[in-house]
Amino acid sequence: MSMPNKLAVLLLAGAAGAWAQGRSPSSLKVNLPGDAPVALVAADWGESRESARGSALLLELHTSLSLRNLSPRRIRGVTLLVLAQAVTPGGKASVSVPGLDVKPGETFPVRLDLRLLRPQGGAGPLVEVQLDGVLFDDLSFYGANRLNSRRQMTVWELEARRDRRYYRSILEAEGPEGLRREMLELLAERPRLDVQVSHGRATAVAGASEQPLQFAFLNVPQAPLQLLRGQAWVAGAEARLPQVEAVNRSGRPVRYFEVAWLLRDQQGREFLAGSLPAASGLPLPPGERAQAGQEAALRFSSPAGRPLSIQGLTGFLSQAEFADGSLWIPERTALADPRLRRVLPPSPEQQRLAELYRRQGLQALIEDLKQR
Amino acid sequence: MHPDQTHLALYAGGELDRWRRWRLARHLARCPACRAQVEEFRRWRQWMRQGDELPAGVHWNRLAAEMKANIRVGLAAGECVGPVVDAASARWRPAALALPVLLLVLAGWLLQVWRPPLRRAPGASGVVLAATAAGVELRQGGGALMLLHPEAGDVSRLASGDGVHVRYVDSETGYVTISHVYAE
Repeated sequence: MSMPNKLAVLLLAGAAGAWAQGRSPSSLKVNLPGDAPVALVAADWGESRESARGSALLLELHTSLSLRNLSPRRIRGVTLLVLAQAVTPGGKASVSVPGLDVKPGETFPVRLDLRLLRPQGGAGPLVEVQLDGVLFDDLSFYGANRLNSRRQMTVWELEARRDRRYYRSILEAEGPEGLRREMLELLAERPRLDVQVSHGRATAVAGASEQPLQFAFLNVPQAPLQLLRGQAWVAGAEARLPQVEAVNRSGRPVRYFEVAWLLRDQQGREFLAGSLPAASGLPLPPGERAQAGQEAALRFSSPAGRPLSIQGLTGFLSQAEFADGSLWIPERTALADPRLRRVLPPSPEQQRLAELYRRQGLQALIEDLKQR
Repeated sequence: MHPDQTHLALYAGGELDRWRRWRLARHLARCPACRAQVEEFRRWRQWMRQGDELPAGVHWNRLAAEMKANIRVGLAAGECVGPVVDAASARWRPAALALPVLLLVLAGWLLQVWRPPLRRAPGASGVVLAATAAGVELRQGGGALMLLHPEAGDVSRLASGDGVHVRYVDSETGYVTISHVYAE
């Protein structure tokens, strides 16, 4: 090799070394408590990288955390809290994996794919990952529960049990073909929207073209709360400050409830918009009233970019938590309403079962339903 | 040595730069086989302009070569055409190539050392959450936090009281995964 070539090789090697140092995954710290029922076994950093964007730093983290179940019970779900205080003050996020069946000693992956934009400078990790909660098969819970992941993961698990019972009954009554029909219905495309939510000053200012739009309600059998009235300020594809008033018709105090809401556009199509959490008046004694709502402006758009004009709002009670910690979710019969079947996305367990059917076929699905 | 199909296709379309065109024309003047290929490429170009049905016997590989060539035209547009280099200057070529890389690394290092204050957008005191095909994002001031779902299937996006969440099947793990970004 000639002298200039040697020089070039040396210089490029030095540059490559400098580049490799710049993409160390030290931007993310995984912090699990010492007594946690899961342990971090490995972290695969994949194609994590960082780059400058003007005077800001753009960081992409792609990692797969491998966690081991250290407890003597089966894990049904896990929620990781993602804190990025250095990026967005108060900014937090979570990644939950429901529908697990992790035996003691087994490992399972949780993927984290993050993109962060923040001013350059500062030391220490940009993102800290903590364990917010682990739900076990006996519905016991471990964790800090800062995100109320106990309630949410328990709801997912109750939905999973309800849905598995339903599909087992379909299998018994109609055989594998009945089950196949159900899976094909789950895999059918549902209408979906992109959504943007604005909090802060802008949400308190009414637009000139805004009109109040009243909610209609779907009655869910055996619901512990009755939805009385509600409205949102609507202009085109934007709905602001949606609020719903409910009364506790059960004989027990209610600690929390959520109202799912649907939009209807100018062509009569319906979309699931989201859920409104109980906002005030809690815990709610029997016979008393409380509000569910969102202090935000929500702008919806169809993924295909078609303009959307909100013409109707419909709400129904989707979950309630009593003061003793027990939970209520709608029965399958309530969800059999053709209108809801068309609009509601599958529950996480339905999604998992449909994916199992899609990937491994009917026999694998039947075995899974028989196992748990 | 014959030029490759890509260059012949580019030549046929008149999309080679002047220097390469001149060199290829010299080759074509003494090579009937390459001339025939160039003629064939020209016929195809003419046919593609005229009709929208494929004639029998279309040579797909060659057609693909022409399409690829057109794409490369765009990529090559920024490239400078250097003069013919002699043996002595060829020895310095690796070092010359390394120099821009080193300058790039140096510029990157300088940018890291020199940190101008971040300009925040006026009136950006609010918090915006957005769920799109790429993921769910929190924008606040000059910062942004986005949970991505690059390997996702069957994605649903919903507004919840304290934020926005996205539910999907992770095609790598096969698990249903729920990403939630909170506005507080």
